[in-house]
Amino acid sequence: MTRYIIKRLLIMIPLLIAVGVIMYTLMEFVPGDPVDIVFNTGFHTEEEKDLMREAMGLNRPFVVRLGEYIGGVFLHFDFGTSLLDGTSIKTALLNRFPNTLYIAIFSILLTVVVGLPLGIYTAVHANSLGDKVSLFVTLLFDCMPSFWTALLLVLLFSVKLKWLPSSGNDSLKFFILPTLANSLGGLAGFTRQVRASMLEVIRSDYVTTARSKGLPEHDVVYGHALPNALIPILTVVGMRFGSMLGGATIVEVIFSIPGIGQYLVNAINGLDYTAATGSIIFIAFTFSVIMLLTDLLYAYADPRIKAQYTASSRKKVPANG
Amino acid sequence: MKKALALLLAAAMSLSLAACGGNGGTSAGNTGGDGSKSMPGLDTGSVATAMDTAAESVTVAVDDDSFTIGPWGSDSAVRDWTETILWTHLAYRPFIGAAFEAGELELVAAKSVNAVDSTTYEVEIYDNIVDSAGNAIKASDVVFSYDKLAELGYVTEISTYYSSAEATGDYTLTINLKSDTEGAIEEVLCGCSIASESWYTSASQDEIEKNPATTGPYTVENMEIGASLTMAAKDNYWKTSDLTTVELQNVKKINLKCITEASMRSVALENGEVDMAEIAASDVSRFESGSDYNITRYMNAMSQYLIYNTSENSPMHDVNVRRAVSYATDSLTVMMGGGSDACVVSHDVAPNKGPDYVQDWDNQSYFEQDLDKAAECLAAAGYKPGELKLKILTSAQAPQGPYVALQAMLQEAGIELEIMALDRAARMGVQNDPTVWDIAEYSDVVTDFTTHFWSNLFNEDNYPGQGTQGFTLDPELQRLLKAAMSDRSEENMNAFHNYVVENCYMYGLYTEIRSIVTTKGLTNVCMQKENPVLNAMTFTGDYVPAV
Repeated sequence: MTRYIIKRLLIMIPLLIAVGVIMYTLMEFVPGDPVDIVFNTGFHTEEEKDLMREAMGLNRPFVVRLGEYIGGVFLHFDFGTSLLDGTSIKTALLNRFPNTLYIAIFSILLTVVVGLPLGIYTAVHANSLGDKVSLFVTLLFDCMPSFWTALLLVLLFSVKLKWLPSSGNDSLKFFILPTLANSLGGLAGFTRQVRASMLEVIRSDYVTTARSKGLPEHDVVYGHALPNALIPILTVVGMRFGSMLGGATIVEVIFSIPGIGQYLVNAINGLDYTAATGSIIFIAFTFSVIMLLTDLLYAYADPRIKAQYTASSRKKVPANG
Repeated sequence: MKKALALLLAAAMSLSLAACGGNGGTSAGNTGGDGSKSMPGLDTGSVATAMDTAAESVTVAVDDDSFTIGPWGSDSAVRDWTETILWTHLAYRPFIGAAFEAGELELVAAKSVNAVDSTTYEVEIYDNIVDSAGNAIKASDVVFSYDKLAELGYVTEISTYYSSAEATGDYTLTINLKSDTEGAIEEVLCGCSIASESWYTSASQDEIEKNPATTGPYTVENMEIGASLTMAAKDNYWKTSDLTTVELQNVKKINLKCITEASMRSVALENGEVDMAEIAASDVSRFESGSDYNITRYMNAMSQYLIYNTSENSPMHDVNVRRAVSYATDSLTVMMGGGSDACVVSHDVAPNKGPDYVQDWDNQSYFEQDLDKAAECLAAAGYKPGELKLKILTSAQAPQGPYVALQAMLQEAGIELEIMALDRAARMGVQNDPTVWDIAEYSDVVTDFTTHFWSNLFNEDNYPGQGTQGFTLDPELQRLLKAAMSDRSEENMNAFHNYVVENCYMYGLYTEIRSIVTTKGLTNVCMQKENPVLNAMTFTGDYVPAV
């Protein structure tokens, strides 16, 4: 197992380097001169621009700059400085990441806590009234764009009831509405995924066998059916969580929460190449880590997968060893 | 006349400190939107009885979440609101066009400024300036600050006008300018935050961005990048007398909350989460009824205009086509296309903001919409209705409503307009290409004089080989511009204005009027230039800070 984790971590290195190289190269081809971004407004002579270009190292060959950038990111965790305001991108990302992490964790928890039992219920009671009502409600949220849901939540809980603040990130209370707005939309998809996975296993022979043995329905569902339905559910949870760590841009903007998504959008709008590249590498890193953790969870959810990992590790051991 | 009025206002402010609330003063007055003149139809706060002591706190919603608070940083709205609160400057310019020679600058860190010649100035600074970390500020720190800012290039005016500085004593220095252009010394004296060299060179990046050793009347209590900033009044600010407006401490704590979404700022204000916010024009009516809120209206810094591509690559090369487009356009309708009619319609490419703006232009006809004239001009250019097709370059990030309105108006005049909405990067790639577009929307700000605004648009030195922003190669235009820049007499100003109108090289649209809404006890938002001076606002006895 340890060997597998190390192998996956090692695979992440070329993957992230590839992301860095692709992003840096793409940004090189984006029209516009970084010097104009640095100077931002007003008029500067060509001489002044040349001096700034030299100071920024832009007069050196692309390959040299790319090498330096990749080296800085992967050897020193240094993403450079923002073209717009000269601030450290690493500092900005690390300052903003906790806010994105809070929203992602709370949102995924809410999705799982509500969506998992709801999905199981709708599978067990497929085509019942409850199934249809839950489908209607979750699809209703799914059809509403998150900015619209967010505004409705604000109108109800902030403006009318005055229970919750409308914007900011001063305490956990400030994350309640963003969490709701971020997770309600995805609830339908998750619930339907759980339902579909459960329906697939709930009609299996071993579940029928479990029932015929006289096991209580609760044990049949949660002890036999659910563990076997977990793999696709874990995949969805992992993918969603990984995406959320890339920032819930709309929610962050509406609730004025400084997160990674907002930073990336500002960087793209402001043509801040370095900040955009740094943000995307950072997002790729967090996504890769989450997908690794998801793969590891597979092993705990399904003993067959764990056995495969173990078997593949044993194969490496010499026969006479 | 305007200068006299401006001087009178400045004198009144500096004498009584009442115009912006005063520190512990007992009365408050009004300032014009930019301090130099009052604009018809603009409210600038009401007279109220100020609190005897400083208010405990004020919470302000700001629409920018990417500002910096270190001594030097790129231009942003919030930086404009906070830089003079946190950082001392040699001097402060209380209104657009305030001149050093006329004694209209307010000296802050400088005790005296004397001209040696047209490009050299001797400055004496106060000998007791300290930052919030206790570092004494000497002339060498001032020199370091200017050199650092010039190197970083964040402030165009410093890059343009500042040449060098040299400390001639512990508290005296000489500043050399690159040119004797009018307005240069004012920009240099007022444009640079002063910080301690020893602090700056030893501080970490994180410290500079979140907990800087400030030299202004306030210090940073808490900074959460992208979310909020809390500034606290210093108990022991180094200056105790002759305080300028930007050094007042009318409130003990200033909290800025970044709320980028316009509708959420209105909600935060209604919920009592903030005391003051700039509100979208469409939302202002929600706060107009009743007496729970005060509204301050002011002209936005940015003025909108249309650039016409006068190169041979475009049909706009023909003055008749340019006139046809101008006569087919109604500026107010363009503005309303964006969902608001709160604006001042332009009567020149530049807005009525600089002290050299000729007031009579506002009474003259300036391409009032006239479809018959547009049709005549189109016919004179040899086009039948529906034959002419033009492309307008716009920014994709900006609302497209105004340009859809323009498209509809030109359609009515028989001109087909294609909107090319490009993002910033793509736009930068084509805006200097005369073969891509025929009309481009643009905006710029008057920082001091109308002539500087014109220079930014028309001066061939700024556009080598290109002539102007609109690719106009016209020696007479350059001659008239240089004449107006060297002597801003009404005759020279009129000559240039009339020449541009006659040739219809560019078309001024409008300047948006913005509204700041405050809660009941915050009666007077001290507005100087285009920004509120947050530490100099007037709080009355019934002021209750936001929770």
